[in-house]
Amino acid sequence: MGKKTSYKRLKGSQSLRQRLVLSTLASTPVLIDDIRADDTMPGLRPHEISLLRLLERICDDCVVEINETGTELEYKPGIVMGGRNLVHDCGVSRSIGYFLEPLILVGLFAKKPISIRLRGITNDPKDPSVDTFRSTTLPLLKRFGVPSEGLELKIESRGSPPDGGGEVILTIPIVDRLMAVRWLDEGMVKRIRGVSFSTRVSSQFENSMIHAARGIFNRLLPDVHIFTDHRAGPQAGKSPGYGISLVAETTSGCFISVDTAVSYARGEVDEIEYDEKRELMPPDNVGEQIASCLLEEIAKGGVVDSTHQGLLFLLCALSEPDVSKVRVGKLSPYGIEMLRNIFDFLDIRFDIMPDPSTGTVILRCVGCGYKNLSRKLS
Amino acid sequence: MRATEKEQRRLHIPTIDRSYGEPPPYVVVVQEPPRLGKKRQLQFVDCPNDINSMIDCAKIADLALLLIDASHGFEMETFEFLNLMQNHGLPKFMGVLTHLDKFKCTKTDICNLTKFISVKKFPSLHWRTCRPYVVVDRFEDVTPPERVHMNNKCDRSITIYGYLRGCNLKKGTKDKEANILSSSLLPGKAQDVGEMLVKLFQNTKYSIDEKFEKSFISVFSRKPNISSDATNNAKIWMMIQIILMTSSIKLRNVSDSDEDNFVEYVEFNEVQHRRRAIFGYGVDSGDQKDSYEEGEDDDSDEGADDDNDTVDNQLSSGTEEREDNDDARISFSLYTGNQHQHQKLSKEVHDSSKGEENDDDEFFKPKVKGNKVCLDIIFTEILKAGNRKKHMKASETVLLWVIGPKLLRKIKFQRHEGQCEDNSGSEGIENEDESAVEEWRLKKLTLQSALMAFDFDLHMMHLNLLRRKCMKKMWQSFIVSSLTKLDWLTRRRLNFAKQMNIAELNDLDEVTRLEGFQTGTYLGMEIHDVPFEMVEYFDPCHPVLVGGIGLGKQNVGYVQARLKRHRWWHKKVLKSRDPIIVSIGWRRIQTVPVYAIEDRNGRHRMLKYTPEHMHSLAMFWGPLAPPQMGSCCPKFIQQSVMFSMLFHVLDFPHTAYSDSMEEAHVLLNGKLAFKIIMVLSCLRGLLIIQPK
Repeated sequence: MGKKTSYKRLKGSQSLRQRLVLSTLASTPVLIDDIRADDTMPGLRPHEISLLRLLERICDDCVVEINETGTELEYKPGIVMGGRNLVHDCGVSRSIGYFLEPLILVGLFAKKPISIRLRGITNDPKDPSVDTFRSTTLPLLKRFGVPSEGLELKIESRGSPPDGGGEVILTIPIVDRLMAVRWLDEGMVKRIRGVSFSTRVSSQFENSMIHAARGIFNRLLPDVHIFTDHRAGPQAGKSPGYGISLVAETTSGCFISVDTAVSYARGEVDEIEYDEKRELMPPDNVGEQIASCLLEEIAKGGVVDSTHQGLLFLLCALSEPDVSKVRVGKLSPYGIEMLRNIFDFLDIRFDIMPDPSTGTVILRCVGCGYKNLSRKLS
Repeated sequence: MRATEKEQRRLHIPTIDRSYGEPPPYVVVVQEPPRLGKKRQLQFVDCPNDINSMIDCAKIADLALLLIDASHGFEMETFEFLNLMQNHGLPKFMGVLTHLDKFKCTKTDICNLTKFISVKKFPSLHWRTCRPYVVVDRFEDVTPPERVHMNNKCDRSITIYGYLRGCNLKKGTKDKEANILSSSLLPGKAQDVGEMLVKLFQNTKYSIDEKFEKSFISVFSRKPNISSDATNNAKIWMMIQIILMTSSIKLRNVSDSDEDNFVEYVEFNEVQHRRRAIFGYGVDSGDQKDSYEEGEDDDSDEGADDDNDTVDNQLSSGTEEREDNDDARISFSLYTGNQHQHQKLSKEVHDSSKGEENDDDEFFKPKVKGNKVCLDIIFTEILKAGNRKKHMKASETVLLWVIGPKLLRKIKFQRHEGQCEDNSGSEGIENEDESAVEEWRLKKLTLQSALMAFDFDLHMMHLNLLRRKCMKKMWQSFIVSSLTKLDWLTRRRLNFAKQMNIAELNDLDEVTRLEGFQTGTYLGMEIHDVPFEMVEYFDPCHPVLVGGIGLGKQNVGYVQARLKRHRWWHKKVLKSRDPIIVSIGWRRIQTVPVYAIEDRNGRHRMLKYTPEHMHSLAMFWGPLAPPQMGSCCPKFIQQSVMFSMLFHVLDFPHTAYSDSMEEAHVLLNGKLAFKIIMVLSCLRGLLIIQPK
């Protein structure tokens, strides 16, 4: 009883998000050291701190200890409580998309449904945008038996880098358990939808992006609708920017998405890893490029795009102890990292079977039968 | 109204069966009060009469035989065991009256019992199917001898073997058995002596007596010191395995008891303390009968309507039983064990066997079958009187493989020969050889798929006549109500899912087994750093159980439970911060509870003592358990044990804020015996003591 907590020891800064999520779900305390110890800027980044704060906010009894230099992190997960009207400032070093994935995984197994207001950057070129999350991630969850009531993302205002100012409201229902899936048929693309946005710039930017993208799609299929979402005033956040998110829906109900955003990066030292672009890409090129990206994703095959592989694998691993079978395109580094972490925390091994005829990979696993223990009984 | 209610009660949510391989042997626990039943050789290994073993047995039993000494009456152990089982999912159980030979001939009872066991369907209990467990068959100390030589009290390494039950065991699942947490699995080792031995026993050509004579193994020996010569001391400890087979089995009739043995056990038991269940004065025996029946089986159609919820009358504690009650009915005599009444009873029995059923006491009404009276077996699971007959006609032979640790020499098999006229079909089956077993298993599978496809192929399953009929009957009743149609669809979906799983998993090779070890695998586990006491005081009569814990349940934290003091067995109110022993899940833990009650304004007020007749909340530091986990608190008072309270856990780890409460009603004897409880969250206003 009075024993000291035994921590799982991990090293390095990589895949901190996945580790924290898995640690919380498996209620395994983790001790991570050697976090960017040799870096010029050692220790945890502001967005990682912010993620820890977020976990602390939605959990009870969660203990986070970081050493002085930030190179060592002690995380003892608590009980995911959830709750309504929570607010979290995600900061401006990563966009809200970075926080959404861990949040939704943890939130599904909370005691109470979560509704949280997240502030920060809604669209940036690095993380999946909130539009993609809405168009692709939420339908993905429904496959696993997450009820669609209460699963919602509302974009109150948009914020582009570097100053953000965007605001979204995310509500996540709670589930008792997830269903195993058998999801092999990617189908044929039947329609393409998308949203373009612009903040603090002329709405003409959107039209040129859409025009360019349509130029490519129109030769392939007729059902292409890209909506515009021009924000002005307080809803447009604090920085100028524009971008587009596209999603291809297939006949078998798979969603393949890509997104991008263009804005001025902050020219500060702590943003050194940010790809700084002096010359911003003109909207025509953005449109063309994103359309080609989408086509590339579709060409890779698989039931999800490469950014959602990790999420898909984790959901499979958490599902009921039945066999889940999914087809994905080429395994992304993020997906591979996730597979390793799943094995580490949940002891679940995936059987990976390449399918040379389509260039895809079929993965199989038996879920761990994760149950929402803290869920309130009716 | 009542009928509908009953029908609804019979319905269960279909669950998916995730055991893909051959199922492990079912565990039959024989529970009995101290002295009982030794005369009859139908003693299986009993559940030892100490509370820890009873708790463990209640958790693992697929079928429990509750032996009731008819000449003595109910004893407390029976009720305690019932309570325990209720708390752990209520497996199938049968009450078996023993010592009936004092007033009637009991030639065919054992045959009947074997038949009842053979046709039993074991429901999958939710609690069990979601966590793996191993009932240990065999226990070996594998510590290097030199280490033991150096230090007699060094930590030992042991290997334990047993069938994996419950759900598939993933490598890395934390096992919980006493304080042992680190275990490494040795699936390779399963191919050794132990398995061979188990297989050998399953081969039913020879009786088990003969096998034991040939075997070099000393079973159930109670050598105090286990030396490390592992092979010589390989201990086989069979809880009980009942293997249903249709192969030729030499069963011997056991009902010819041998007196020597009886005497021996009488002597043995003289020392023991018998605790008779005392029933109140002036109790309406009709109530008792009714309630008992219902308590045992919700499906039973025999229980008469009774809205009387007062339980206090049933077992008013402490009152002396009244003898010579003129109005006492037969049942009462059974309860009281009055000799005079016994004579009366036996007379009545003979009367009714002639067909005069003027006694409305259904529970103790002898079941008239031809001219035979089989009063002794109260089998509780059979749905309807109509079905009952079919069960009697079961042409399945059953092999009772029974090893009673206390009477090793008396391992007996029985055979239902020509004793019951209704198992005429058994002859043909006895001629069948081992392949029939395999065939039978296959057919069982076929049956399932047949159910799915709604296609009963009558010719395919000639061996399984009975089952098919029952199924069909159930099936027809399913079709009738539309609600169950939905149920059927779910069933079909689940069955489909199962087939898919099997198909996917069969596809994989041994190395990449995704599902871990399948249930039914004979597993060997090596456990290191076991305290030497485990080996030193190992008692083969006590079950050793290895239970797996689910993800996230390995932690400890604050648990809040709603509880009520047990009104029969614990006379005193409970005091806050008095240590109690709590059994939650697989684990038992001693902890210090703080009691509280919820005020009307939602505030939780700490209580110094639990209320006398009301529920209260308890908060204690203990292992986290999933919500609604039944738990109990045994309390040791002198040699006997009492349950001071029973409760359900709703799980509330660490701190928690408000939550709803839920109550479960526990029926005992068909009456609302106590409301149980559950738990909840909510620390508002409650003082928490520090852990440790």
